[in-house]
Amino acid sequence: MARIETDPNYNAPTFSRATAATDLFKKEDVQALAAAMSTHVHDNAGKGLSVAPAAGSIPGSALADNSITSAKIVDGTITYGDIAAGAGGVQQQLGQYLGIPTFSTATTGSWVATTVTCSVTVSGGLHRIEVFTSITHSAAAGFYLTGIGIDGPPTYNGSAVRSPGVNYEVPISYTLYMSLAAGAHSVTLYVLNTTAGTLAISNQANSGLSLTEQRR
Amino acid sequence: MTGLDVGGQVIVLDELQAELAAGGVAVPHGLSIAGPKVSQSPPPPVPGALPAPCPAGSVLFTYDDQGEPADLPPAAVPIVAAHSPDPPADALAAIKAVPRGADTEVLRDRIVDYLEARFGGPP
Repeated sequence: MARIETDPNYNAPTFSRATAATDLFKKEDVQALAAAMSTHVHDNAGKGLSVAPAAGSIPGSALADNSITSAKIVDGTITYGDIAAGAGGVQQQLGQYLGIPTFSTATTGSWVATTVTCSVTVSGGLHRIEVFTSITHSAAAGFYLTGIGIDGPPTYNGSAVRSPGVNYEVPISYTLYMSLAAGAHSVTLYVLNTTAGTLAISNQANSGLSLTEQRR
Repeated sequence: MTGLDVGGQVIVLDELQAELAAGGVAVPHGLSIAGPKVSQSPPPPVPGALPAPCPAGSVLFTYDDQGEPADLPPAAVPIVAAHSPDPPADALAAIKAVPRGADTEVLRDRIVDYLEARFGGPP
């Protein structure tokens, strides 16, 4: 006699059964088995053993939309090839100025905003700011600084120039990486003229200012 | 700040600043001109020539004590309207005007004037 009264993989309900040819057969065994099978779900927790699907056997339609989130992806495994070209999710340009500006100033000794500016709304984090322009100064050897201001005058100098001659166009170009708080900001090219005379952004070439949000 | 419309006017800012000071209009924080983007560049500037007229929509303004753009006082309006800058002195023409056989000291002074005008003196 080797009957078991409780199946090891079913407990709610369980069922008994014969395990040897000489065991007594009870009709209740069939009833208990039917009751257990009625609710089996392969949960590996009392209603049947779990089922390991064969590779490639789960169709995409079996997954609810948006059900795969970062918690189900091992950190650091998304590679360059996983991201579609032009998806815009890795780096996104949020604002740009491009054109031939009209701006000149005779103010000396303080930062003044130019017309090379753009407005952006950022989600926070690291940003790349690129600027290019050409500037003239009416004084021979006129000295001036430029900088990028976020919502106001810059807190550091981006370039320092001593004009090589009267009204010589001097090209200026640089790239900054800055962390910005989430929200709306104005990004502006500022100049600080330290020599008496007129400083002007050249109208012989375009000036540009671009802000790109760096994302992983 | 609305600024003073100077579209179409030829302005040499540092000269205008001196004219305002001479007229008793104080602009201790200087002057600036801002305007729209232009669709096409004017002809390249000629050394020694006046700047191109300001594009339509350009405005002239100063700054307040906090560095924010501010309107000029009303007394500045007629002075700005009368602003008519003279072309800068043509130092090269002055060299050419020195007659042959002239005193070399005269020629030297003109050359120095020209070089300083173009390239400046020692910083």
